[in-house]
Parts: sequence; C-alpha cells; structure tokens
Amino acid sequence: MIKLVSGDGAEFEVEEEVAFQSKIIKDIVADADDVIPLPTVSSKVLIQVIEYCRKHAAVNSFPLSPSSSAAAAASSSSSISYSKPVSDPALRAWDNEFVKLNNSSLFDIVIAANYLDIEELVDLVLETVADRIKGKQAQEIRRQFNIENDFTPEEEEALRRENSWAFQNN
Amino acid sequence: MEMARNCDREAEDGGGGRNSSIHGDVLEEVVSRVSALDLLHVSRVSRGWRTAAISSLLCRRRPPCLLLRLQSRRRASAHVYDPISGAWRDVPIPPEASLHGLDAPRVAALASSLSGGPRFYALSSSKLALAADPLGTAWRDLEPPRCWRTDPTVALVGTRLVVAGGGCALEGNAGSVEMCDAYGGGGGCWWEPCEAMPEAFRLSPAISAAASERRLYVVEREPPFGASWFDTETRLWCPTRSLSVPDPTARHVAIGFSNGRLLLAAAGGSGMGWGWAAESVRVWMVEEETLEVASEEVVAEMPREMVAGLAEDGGGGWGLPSIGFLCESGFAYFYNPVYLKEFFLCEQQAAGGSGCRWERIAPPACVEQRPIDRVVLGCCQNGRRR
Repeated sequence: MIKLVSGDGAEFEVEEEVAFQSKIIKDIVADADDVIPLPTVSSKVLIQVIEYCRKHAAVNSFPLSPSSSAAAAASSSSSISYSKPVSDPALRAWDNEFVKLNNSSLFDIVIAANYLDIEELVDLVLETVADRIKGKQAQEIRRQFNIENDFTPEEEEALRRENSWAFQNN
Repeated sequence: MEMARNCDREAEDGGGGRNSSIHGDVLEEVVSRVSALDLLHVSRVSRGWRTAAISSLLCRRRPPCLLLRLQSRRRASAHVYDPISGAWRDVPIPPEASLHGLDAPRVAALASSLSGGPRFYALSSSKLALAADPLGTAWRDLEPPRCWRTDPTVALVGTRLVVAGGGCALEGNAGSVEMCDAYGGGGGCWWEPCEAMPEAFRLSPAISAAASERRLYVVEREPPFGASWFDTETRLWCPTRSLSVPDPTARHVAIGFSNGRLLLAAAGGSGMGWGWAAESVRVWMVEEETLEVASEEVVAEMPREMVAGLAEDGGGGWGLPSIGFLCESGFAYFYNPVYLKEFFLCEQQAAGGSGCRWERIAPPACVEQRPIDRVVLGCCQNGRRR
C-alpha cells in the first residue's frame, strides 16, 4: 500500500497499481518512501483523481476483452498493461460520466493530473473542456467558464466589425 | 442537456464564485484542441483567450478556403470563404485579369495536386491560360492544346497539365488526351499526345476528376460510375472499372483527394426519373490502385436536414441534379451545382473524437445579385497572403 498525503493533510491509502497510474508516483516509489506528500493537491481533488486511477487500474489489470485476457492471466495482477484502455466502451462511458463536473473542478483536476503525470486523465479533461466550447458564441463561452469580458466597448465594436481576423494575423 | 446539468452542479457547490476560471497554459492546451471552426468565437471571449486563439492559429494546419469566382464576358469577381473567420472576403481582380483578353473566355475549375496552386484555367479557341494563383487574380498564357475542345477534363498532376476529352467526336477526337509540363523550364510548353480516354468517358458529359502527384483519376458522375486513372509517367489509362458504391441507391458521385486519401462522395435517394429525391450524402475512401471502395465504413455522412437543404431547388424542379464536392486536408465542401443556395462544410474527425462536424455556409450576396454570371468553385489550402 502507498500513502498519499494531500495539501490539506488528509491521508489516503491506495494500492500500488492504483497509485502507479501516476508515472511520477511510480518513479518516486522506486527510489524512496511509501508515504508521498502532494502539497499542491487538495483532498477534494485527490479523492477524484484516486477514483479515476482506481477505475483505470482495475480495467487495465483485468481486461474484459477476451483477446487480452490471456496476456493478463499470464502476468501478475500488479503489472499494469496500457493496452488500449480508452477503446474499451464501458471504460469510455465511465470516463464520460466522470467528467460531468463543473469547469473549475475540471481545471483543478487537470492541474493535479498534469502534476502527477497521468497522461490519459490530462487528455480526457482537456478534450472535455474543448468540447464545451464547440459551437458556442463568445458570450456563451464567457458564461460557461465564468470569464470577465476585458475588452473595451471600442475594442468589442472593432471585433464585431472585423470579419477576417485570421487573415490579418499573418 | 449535459450542459444544463453541469450548470446545476456548478450552482450547488458554488463553483461560480471561485477564482479558478481556466487560464494560462491549461487554456492554451484546451484551445489547441478546439476545432478551427470555433476559433473565431474563442478569440472574442477576452484578451487572454484572444492571445491563446492567435497562438493556436499560428501553429495549426488551417482548414482549406472555399474559392468562388463569378465570371461573365464583361467582368469577373473573386471571393474567398475562410472557415476560421467564418466569412467571405472579396479579392480584387485587376481589370487585365478579369477578361484576360480571351475572345470568349471559358473559366473553369481544374483538379490539382498542387497545394496552394491554381484551381482555375481559362480556355478559348486560341489560348489556354492557367491561373497564376488559386483564385486567378493573374494568369499565365500557355500554348493551346493541338486539338480543339469544349469542357475538357483538366488537371494539374504534379507539374504536368493534362487535358482530356471534350474534343470533336466528328473528327474522332472525342477522348483525345494531351499533356505538357506547365512549370517546365525554357518558357515553351510542348503538348504531347497520349493514349485517348477509355471508351466510357469519351462521350460522357459529366466527369468528376481528382489528381495525385502522378495520376489523374476520373469517375462518371452518374451510373454506372465508370472509373479509371491516367498515369502521367506511362501515359496510359488503366482499364475502366465500375465503382461499386456501398449505397445501392446512389445516383450521383464525385471524387477528390484529402490528406492523401482518394474520397468518393455519393448522393443516394429514392424515386424514379424526375421524381427522384436525395435522401443521403455519404463519403467513403477509395483504393487508388483498384478503384474499389476501401471499406464499407463511412468517412462522413451528411445530417438529414442538410441533405434536404442541398436538394432544395427553390421550386425549380431540379432537385439535386449532381453533387458538388471539394475536399482537402480533412475538410470537404458540398453544394448543389445547379441551385447554389448553400454550401455545407464537413470537418472529418472533429476535436473530441465526436465524429464529423457540419456547418452551413451562405454564398456571398453577389451570387444572387448576378444570376447570369457563371460561378466557378475551388477549394484551396491557403490562408496566408504572400
């Protein structure tokens, strides 16, 4: 078991294969302690990240598809295969549920996932946020992401009138 | 619906009040994953978002522009639709490039393998001119092909200009093919006669063409969808095959190259004769060597309501008499060549792995204002001004 300590002092005991979804933790454990302080990660975010890692560790260790089950049976349960986790439709559906969070939560998670080097989680969150921008007008994006419009009225007027900004930036 | 739920959750945990709105390198990463079609709106959110949009624009591949040239005997105008700006831009044509001194100019589109190269040519009885830029704001004169033609299939295959078909059937030239090096040294352009087009294409009025670096591909736009290719090295045609479109109701097809893949667009529907109505537009990948549809997996499928828009003919009774299909770099424009009311842009494999993304595009106002002028269309990967 590995002990993770969040920035606000909460301790979480997790199995190795769960913690090793983070490449950085894997590296730390290889040459140091089993207690890992994560000062920049709050307990609220760490709970969510552990939830994600637990699910992905489970699916990766015990693949459901018959083609990879033989390989999994041959290897011990602690070795994690990164075969093609996200191509598993059930896991994909789980991921889609997991990211149904507000934007500031996703923002916190992506920073933690980036810090912990969990590549798939970083990609998942960034894709999710990008998808929330899709097909929206500027005003809707501001509302969605709680962003202040810091253009002056004159600038806004100029933005509205320009219809070839992309050409001008070359 | 998903968004509404997210907003609810956000309200519950008071997330709106927290000062951790997306910014910095996370914002840059997100914007780099946003479709090019959304960048305009992203650029208008705030100063920070505008900076992120502009830097993302500089390092991504741009979607191809739609080129529209309105040509009459007296004048010409050129218009470019840039999907990133979501707008049409008029491009001035110098008077000398408007008519180009041809006695009866016939400006038409050519198939081209040259990214950023010309998309139009002009042919008269005494001259052949190749546009010097994608839109034809300047022209280069070439010697005309030896055989007189109307509406031939013209393609730039690498640097070679191939002119096929359109010759006079009475003189036995219906399918004759000539080729020259359009960008060769020495200034002159020497037309070489090549093997004539296969029988199926000699009298076929409707041919869709696409060019790779070495070959010209041609397909009959209507059943039985005869298909062949011409190799510019061997100067020979491959035997004609009949394209087997996976949609048995297919009535019109067209081909094009996108990201090095040969794509086939087909409009299917139901009904007989004049009662035929388009119901689907789908795109497949075609094997270049065998001219067989590579897999039944559909590359893109137009939403049903857009198919209705495409077939909308303003009561003229034309329906969808053929399909306009221009593709490049993972994007494709579709249109009704006879009743040009709207264009439909498809982004294949849009961001987020959510399949294709479709947009409707209105033509520039001049198309309706000048109904007699001939509309010539092209598609070109070229957002940068030299």
